[in-house]
Amino acid sequence: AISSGAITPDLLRSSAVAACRRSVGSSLNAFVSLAEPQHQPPVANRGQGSLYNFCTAGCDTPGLAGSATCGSPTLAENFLPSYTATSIIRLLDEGAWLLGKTNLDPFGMGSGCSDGLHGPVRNPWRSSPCSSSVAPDSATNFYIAGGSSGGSAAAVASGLAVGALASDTGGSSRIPAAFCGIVGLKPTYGRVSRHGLVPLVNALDCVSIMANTVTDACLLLNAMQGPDENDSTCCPERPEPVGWSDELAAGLKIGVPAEFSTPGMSASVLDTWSSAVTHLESDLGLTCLPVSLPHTPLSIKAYSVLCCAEVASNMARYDGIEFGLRVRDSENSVESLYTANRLAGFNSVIRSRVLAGNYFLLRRNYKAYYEQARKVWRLIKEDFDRVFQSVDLLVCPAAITAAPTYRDFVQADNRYRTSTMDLCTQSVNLAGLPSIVLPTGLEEGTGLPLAVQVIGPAMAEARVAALAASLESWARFPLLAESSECSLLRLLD
Amino acid sequence: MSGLKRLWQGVIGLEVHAQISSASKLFSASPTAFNMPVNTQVSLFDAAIPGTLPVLNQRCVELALKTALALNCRINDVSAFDRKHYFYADMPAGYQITQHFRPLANHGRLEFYWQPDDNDPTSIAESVADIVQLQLEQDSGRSLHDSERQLSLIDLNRAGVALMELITGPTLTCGAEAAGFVRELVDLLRCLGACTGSLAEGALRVDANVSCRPAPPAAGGSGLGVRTEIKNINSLAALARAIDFEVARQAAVLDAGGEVINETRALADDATGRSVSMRDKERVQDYRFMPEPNLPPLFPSDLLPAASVDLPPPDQLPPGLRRRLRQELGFSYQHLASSVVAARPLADWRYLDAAVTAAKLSRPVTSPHLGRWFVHCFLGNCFRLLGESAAAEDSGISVESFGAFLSLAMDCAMISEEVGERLLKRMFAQPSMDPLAEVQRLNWFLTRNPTEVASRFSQFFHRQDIASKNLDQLVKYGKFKLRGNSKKASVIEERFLALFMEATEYTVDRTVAAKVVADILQSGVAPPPS
Repeated sequence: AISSGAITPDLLRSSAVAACRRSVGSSLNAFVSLAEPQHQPPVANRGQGSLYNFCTAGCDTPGLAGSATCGSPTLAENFLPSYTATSIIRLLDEGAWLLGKTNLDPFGMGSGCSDGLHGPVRNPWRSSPCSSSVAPDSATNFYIAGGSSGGSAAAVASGLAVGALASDTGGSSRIPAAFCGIVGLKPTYGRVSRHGLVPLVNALDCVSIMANTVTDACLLLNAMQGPDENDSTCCPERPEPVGWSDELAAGLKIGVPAEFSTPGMSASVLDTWSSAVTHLESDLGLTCLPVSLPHTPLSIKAYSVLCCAEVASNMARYDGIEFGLRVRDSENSVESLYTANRLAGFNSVIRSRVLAGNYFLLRRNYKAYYEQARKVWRLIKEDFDRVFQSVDLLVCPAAITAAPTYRDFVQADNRYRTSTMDLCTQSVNLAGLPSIVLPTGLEEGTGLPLAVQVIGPAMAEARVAALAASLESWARFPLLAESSECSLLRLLD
Repeated sequence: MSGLKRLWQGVIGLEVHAQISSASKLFSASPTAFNMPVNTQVSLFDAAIPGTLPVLNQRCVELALKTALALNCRINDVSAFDRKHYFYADMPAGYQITQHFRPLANHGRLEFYWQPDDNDPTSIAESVADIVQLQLEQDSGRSLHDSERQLSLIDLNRAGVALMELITGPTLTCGAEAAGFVRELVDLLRCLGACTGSLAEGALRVDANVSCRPAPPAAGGSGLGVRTEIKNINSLAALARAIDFEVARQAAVLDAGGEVINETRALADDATGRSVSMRDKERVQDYRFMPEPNLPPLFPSDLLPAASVDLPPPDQLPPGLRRRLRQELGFSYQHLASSVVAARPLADWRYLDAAVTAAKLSRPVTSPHLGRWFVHCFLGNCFRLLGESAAAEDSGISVESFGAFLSLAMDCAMISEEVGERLLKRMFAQPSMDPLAEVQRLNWFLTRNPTEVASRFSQFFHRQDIASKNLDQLVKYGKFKLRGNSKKASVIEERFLALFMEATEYTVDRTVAAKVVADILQSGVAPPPS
């Protein structure tokens, strides 16, 4: 409709903004704040740039000037970031239209997007995303969107936004993408600047992308990727824009990691996985080999130690002194100031990670825990390096089940959830590798999305995208956004 | 230490924090100017605003490397940054970025001299300090406590300024030695332009680690005693006194059979060096060091070319320069300790070197007069007439002219010291002057020939005013001589000598003149004027 001129970009935008406005505070609960006029692209860029008809949502974590952040009481009041994240600036420079900020677990810690200050996000599948009227399912028995970046996934899946940003430290963009039936792209560590991303684990965090198609996700990546003088861990040279031709997918050798199959994995996820592999082998004639990443069972343990240590460190600045939450009448002593503010600002997940992290970093424990975790970290990376000498890409699941219900999800605590749900995703973060998750089918009975993950060697986004695009066109997944009432996709040609 | 049963010796190591003279901070672009209005030099990163990341200031690394090279350190192949965690309001992030596991450099040394005996300025000892470690780290902000209004005020201007931390080995033995080391280090840092070295402004901070052990050390045990750390030291004098006080305190405790407690102490009284225990926590602080994930490792060898491009050679750095001035040019420690010498630009020493060459003085120069002429007279004139920051070349006196002056004043001893001083002053007033020609013109050469001197004395002696004014002296002289009171007689000889020297404007050789005066007076008869 856009190319035919039937719909102008401005009409698209105003429809999008109206839809988002209706959705704030709705049962979907994807958006937590709407973008102010000053966040929109400079006038000169409007109608130009690769993203001119992109209405995007920014995950609540990347700093955006003038709007509160992070899904946690710590920064919910008395804090307005006065700068904009590099990734968002680059999107705006390319003409993207920012709709608002989405819901997430506090400071990005969680697998269900259920713990945030603004409440849980519902999976738009099997729930009514756009109206604020009571949804068919009850208040506690909706399906979760996945975390920590569940808001972004819900926004994209329901068609409220064409694309969204997320953060991925152990799977927190790919798990929600899998649960919500959209594409999730986690770039190579350092490919996209982290300036403005409130850190969870500095050594692992990636600004990640959610969209309905692989093409859209890559468009967003191309706008954001590249060196940034504000981020010393960002790649020093600008990577080639990600694009591919069909030839790129031909002749690839595909690895099927044996250790990614676990007892907790549902039959439907296993089926999805094997049918994707079968298609690649039989229909495309690609070589598919079983490969081994032997240190995978250790990965979650190393990740836990490294993550907790960094959390303890990164959260040390939230003391109620310079910015953010300051509990009233807490200033009797320095100790009471720190205690009151940090108790009020952090939920139990954050507090337990801070305590554990400090424990691991004690002088007497450093060698046995932290240093040991770093050694295992290297082993994990070496597993992947070795595997990519014999294959070009890995294909495996992202989430180990389809989206659980909220009631089932909250039966177990965060630590248990992280250790089981992130099995297929967090070792990819440890290795710093690029990965794309895409939906390939619907689960029988529940009708919930099932997804497949493609992992590549460092900076091989083009190759990963080529295979993902190929699987995408094979799967012909019925995107929710295409059928949803308020979806923008229905306006786009 | 009197009154003790045994002899104890102090064992002292120092931790020095020097603010690096860079235009912006270590990890952010905030300016570092001193004494600016509060909280006006604070970037988002300095205030630990979430989502901001550190970016390393290359200039800081260069200056730190330059210092490490000047201290003969071993530069490490790989260096990295770490987080040191503790909660304090003047450190917004809750951690300081420092270098704990892999610092920039280790195993350096600094030669320095010091004065063991307070009362004897000629008692000079030379020592060498070990620089165990040199690392980069962030400075914290400042906190001001208003106890009346129950407020604590935080200024973050200083938060994130680059510091170099230097840690010495425990080889210093007393306060004077420690002060000597710090003085030398400050000279070196100023010479390199790495740090202003001002203790008063807080650009340089020193903490002392002090312990005691028996002197001589117990057989079979080279172990060190329990140490205390002294903080809050703001001057060299306070440093020396604080250390000596603490050594004496620990010695008394140990001597009485007690044990020294490992604690941090704050200097409370600058005048006596008394420190007090800061023992407010019984537990030991665990800083939970963790590698800084936002900064890639540093390969110092990549920056060595930039760091060494304007590094002076060893004989132009304070320790080497001092050695050369003493051994090659005959300077004494007193010359070196003069305040006009400290922080002289290297150009001044080059000027002196060139002048010495022009004067064709043979090296090594053994006469201490060179030091006196250059430091007290030449530089003294510069300081008085041209101002504190004037360099030797600002005098306008060419190297050749000063060399000619030195030829006159030193080797040949052609002119007296007093004439030399007058001559130099004239040269400052008229820099283009040729000193030799001037001396000739004014007939200022030293007369040494006894006959000539005698003749001049007799002319002097027969002047109306001299003879008449001093008649009584001559009478007394005669009496003393008759009575054999040679001591009182020589006093009168001295008096006439002094008057004579002054009258000749110091153009006669003093030794010769003294003998002439004595002879003539004793003879009792002044020869008629010729």
